[in-house]
Amino acid sequence: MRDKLALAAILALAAIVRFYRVDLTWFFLDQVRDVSVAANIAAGASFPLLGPRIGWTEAYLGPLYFYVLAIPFSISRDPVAGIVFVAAFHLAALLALYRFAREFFGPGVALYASAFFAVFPLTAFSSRLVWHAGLLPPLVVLYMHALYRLIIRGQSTAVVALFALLAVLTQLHLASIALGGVALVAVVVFRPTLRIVHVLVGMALFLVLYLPYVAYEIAHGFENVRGCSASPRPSRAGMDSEASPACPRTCCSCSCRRSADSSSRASGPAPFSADSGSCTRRKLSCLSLD
Amino acid sequence: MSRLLTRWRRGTVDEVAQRRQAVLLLLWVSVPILMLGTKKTAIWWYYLDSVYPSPFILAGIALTSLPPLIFRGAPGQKRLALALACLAAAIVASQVYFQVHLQRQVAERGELVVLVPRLSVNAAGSPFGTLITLPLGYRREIVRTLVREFGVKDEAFFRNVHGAVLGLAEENRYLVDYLSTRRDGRGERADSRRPLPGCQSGQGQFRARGEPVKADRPVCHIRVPPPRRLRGLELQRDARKPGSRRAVDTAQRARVRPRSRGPEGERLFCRGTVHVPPQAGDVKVAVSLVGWAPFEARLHIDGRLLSPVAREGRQDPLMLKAASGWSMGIGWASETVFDLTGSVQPGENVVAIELIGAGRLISFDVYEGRSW
Repeated sequence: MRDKLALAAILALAAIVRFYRVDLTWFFLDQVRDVSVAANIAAGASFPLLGPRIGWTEAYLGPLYFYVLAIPFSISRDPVAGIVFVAAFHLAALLALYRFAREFFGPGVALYASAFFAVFPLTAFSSRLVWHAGLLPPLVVLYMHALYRLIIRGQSTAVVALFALLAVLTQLHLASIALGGVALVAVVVFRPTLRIVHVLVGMALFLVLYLPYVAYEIAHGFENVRGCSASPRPSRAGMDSEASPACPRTCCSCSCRRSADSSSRASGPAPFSADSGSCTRRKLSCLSLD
Repeated sequence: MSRLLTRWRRGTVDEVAQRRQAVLLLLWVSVPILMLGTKKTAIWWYYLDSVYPSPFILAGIALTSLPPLIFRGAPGQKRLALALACLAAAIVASQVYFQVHLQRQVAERGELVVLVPRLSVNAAGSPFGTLITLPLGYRREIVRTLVREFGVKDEAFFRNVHGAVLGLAEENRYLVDYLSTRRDGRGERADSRRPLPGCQSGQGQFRARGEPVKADRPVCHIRVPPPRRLRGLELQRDARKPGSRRAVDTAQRARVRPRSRGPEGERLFCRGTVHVPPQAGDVKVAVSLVGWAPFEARLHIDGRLLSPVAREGRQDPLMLKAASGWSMGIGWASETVFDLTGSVQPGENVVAIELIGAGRLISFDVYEGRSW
């Protein structure tokens, strides 16, 4: 009973830290992108095959993050709904951490770990944002819980959860691929008994969760896999990208008008390819009035 | 570590399990850190999100293991355990206070200041400096006021609302769309043709950054004449839309032509007229720019270069949709304010705005007053 009261108090403190003035978060263009894509999915307007772009590379993550984020936007289109969803995910992480730590390390350790994790400023900060990294904590805890069950308890079924969670985690942030390394080392060192059927089911689940991404990659010659290994872009990335950094359709329709207006200008090359709807590499004045 | 070393050679089932638990915990901490340690670029705090719960489990193990390690007797162990629990409670309480206080400060200031280099875990330099932005709640309140009370919704919003504080149109498009749609969904009529509280009414103040900030009121009109060359420069067009008499809009997306490259970078001249009504009082005009590089704005009136009375520049993390995907990188936003009082007469006044910088300009806007 005392432990439950302590856990309730910890959850309350975590909720205060996460939900107090939850609207005072930043809303940069990547948050706008996430919210827009998720709202479009919720409205049935689009179903992306790719997720957020991996920082400073030419590659993209899998799309699962956008689909998960679409859940709150099917209830409300208010951007705050996304933040509340991420913050609630963190509260779920706390519960998952308590359960996991209690099972393997005892109730005292579970309470201490939950209390510190509840108020840790960097995770609290992450939980007040609409972004992919915000959804990691509960899944990481569940992943490690499954790994502990596999290694300590010898539960072969846990490998199914491990594969599935790894597929989700790596679509949220590429850095979580390190957890795959943790599992690999643990399996090599401790050699738990694995039933082949569980491994196959886990791998199948992994593939299913990556299916949209794999479909895109096959259709596009594995451009993201190649993009991952490409050298990082300079800090002013996008300056020399093919299209205007703004909405290309706006840019191009405007350029089209402008091109017609200034057709007498001998030195003015065609500013874009109207058929393809994409601007050319040529640096031209590309006006747009919204 | 103690569990690992002291029980390594013992072999009961429980001890083997405890040893495995300890090894797994160490793997959980060390493998991600070792893998991330090979990165030469900045490692942000959230890269370690896959590690975070483990240090707290380690802390929990340490706190629960200390009493039996230090005291043999039960009373001593109990007292130490209580003291450690109090210490942990104090740490937790101080963190809660710190974070709530931080949010209160943000609410008071109305802006979020993020010292990005301090969020890097390793020693690698951060491409970002300090980011200052409007919190979502404030942005939403401003947009809500403009959409619902001033009736500027949908595309009319982007034609009539100006100010660097709101950033690029893309930053507000979702909110404008959401608030406009929701209003219509309730069956209320949102008249986008209702004029902004302009020269006459002077209404429409709302709070941002802790002080009253006016919605940009189009006291003056800036009209940019049809394309013509001026000292080898171009990019002029009439920014006014048919039927929007009060529009001060020169919200043009432009890429600077590499025509007159100088030591300070490329230059872009925009020439137009400022219409000043009689008894206008102070006339201050702000030029807001967003580009993939820092840009400087200068204003010429009657051939004279006017010194700015204020200038503020900020980094702006960009994520913009392009035909080939999403363009991301560091943008630079600036707002330069010029005091035209005494330099302009009632009626039409010819002004030229000179933009200097290297790279691509994303947004260029001219309006009365200032927003930062």
